[in-house]
Amino acid sequence: MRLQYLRSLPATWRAHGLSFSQLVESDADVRFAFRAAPLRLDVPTREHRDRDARPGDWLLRLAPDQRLRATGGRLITVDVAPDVDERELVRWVIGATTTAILYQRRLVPLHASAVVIDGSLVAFLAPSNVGKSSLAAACVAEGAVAFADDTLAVHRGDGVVPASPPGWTQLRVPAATWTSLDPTAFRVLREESDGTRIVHSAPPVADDALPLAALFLLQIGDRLEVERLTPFDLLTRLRGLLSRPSLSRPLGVETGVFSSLGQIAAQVPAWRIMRPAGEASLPAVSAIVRRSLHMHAHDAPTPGLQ
Amino acid sequence: MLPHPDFSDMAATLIDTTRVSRTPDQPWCDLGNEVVVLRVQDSTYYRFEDSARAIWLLLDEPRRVDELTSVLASEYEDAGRSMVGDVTAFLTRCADLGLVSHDATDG
Repeated sequence: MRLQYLRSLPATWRAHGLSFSQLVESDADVRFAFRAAPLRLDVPTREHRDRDARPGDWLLRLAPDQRLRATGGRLITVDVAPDVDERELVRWVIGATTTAILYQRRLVPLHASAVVIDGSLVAFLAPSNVGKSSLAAACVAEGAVAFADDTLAVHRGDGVVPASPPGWTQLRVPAATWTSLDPTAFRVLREESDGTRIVHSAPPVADDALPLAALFLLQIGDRLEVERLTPFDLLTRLRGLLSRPSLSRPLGVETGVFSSLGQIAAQVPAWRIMRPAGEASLPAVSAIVRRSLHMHAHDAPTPGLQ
Repeated sequence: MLPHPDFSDMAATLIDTTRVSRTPDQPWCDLGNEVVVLRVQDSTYYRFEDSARAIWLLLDEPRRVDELTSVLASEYEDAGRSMVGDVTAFLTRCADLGLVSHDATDG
């Protein structure tokens, strides 16, 4: 007997401009199949201890008898026992597996959280545990709308402004950040045992793709510092800020992804922001983001720190 | 420090009739005033500006060295042997790095 349904996910949902469905009969963009997956892929372009990949196909081995597979950008195969830790499983489904689907669909998944500020889509890029979600939440508390948490998919295409559909719009707000925010700006979906809140902004975002207005690359350091990045500086940093960057090459999309990163670097203004760890610096960073957006829109130099 | 290749002292090893093309599946992008090519073997970035960028963009299909030289000479108003030497040196270095491939057939 194998698992037949992911109870902690809805029957259908939308993320990254795609419809996902666990229902047997569905015309969703991405369907789920709860059935046997192979132990290994035939002729993978990359073999790893716990995963194989080849163009259009990706297989993750969570345990000797637990497997997830993403095929053709359209199908997620779940082959796990019913007693699996479903919360852990769902993290793999909406994380690595969905990222593989995005690459297979020629989308560029950035490791980013994003908000809409006064109609402009702004993305915060950083490795894990640097405060992407916390900064997004701080912006939402000041009137922004949550747009994506952890992964932001960017459309690829010649001659078009890089644009993104809403991602997973629930923000994970750490307990320490939550206590520093105005709670009326959020709808709390649930609270986890460590005090982390899973929240939506109120009101939620519309389902339309928006052009990328600005990127902010976040770092933790000993002081507050902001720097406008050149397109080349941005390009070289963006490659390391893809969501699961090691997937793009074995999936056969590295060349296209790099070209798309070039389009983003050439067309989207970007800043590097270093801030001290902790919640105290979040309001200042949120203010820098707003001022940078405003001054760029009015063709003024990057704001200095006060 | 990222490499910014200097081709000025490279020996030219290609001839006018050599047909050159970009290596298939070579990641690259155009930032507007420069082309950036990623050499995946060692994750090194190469930045091509001005005439080097122009050559790279012309290689959207296989082209002969003398064809590239002719186009560049008209664009940069620099006819003569120095342009041929610069073009062949650049392409030779790119070939050494595996960024372009070439054959010696007369197309």
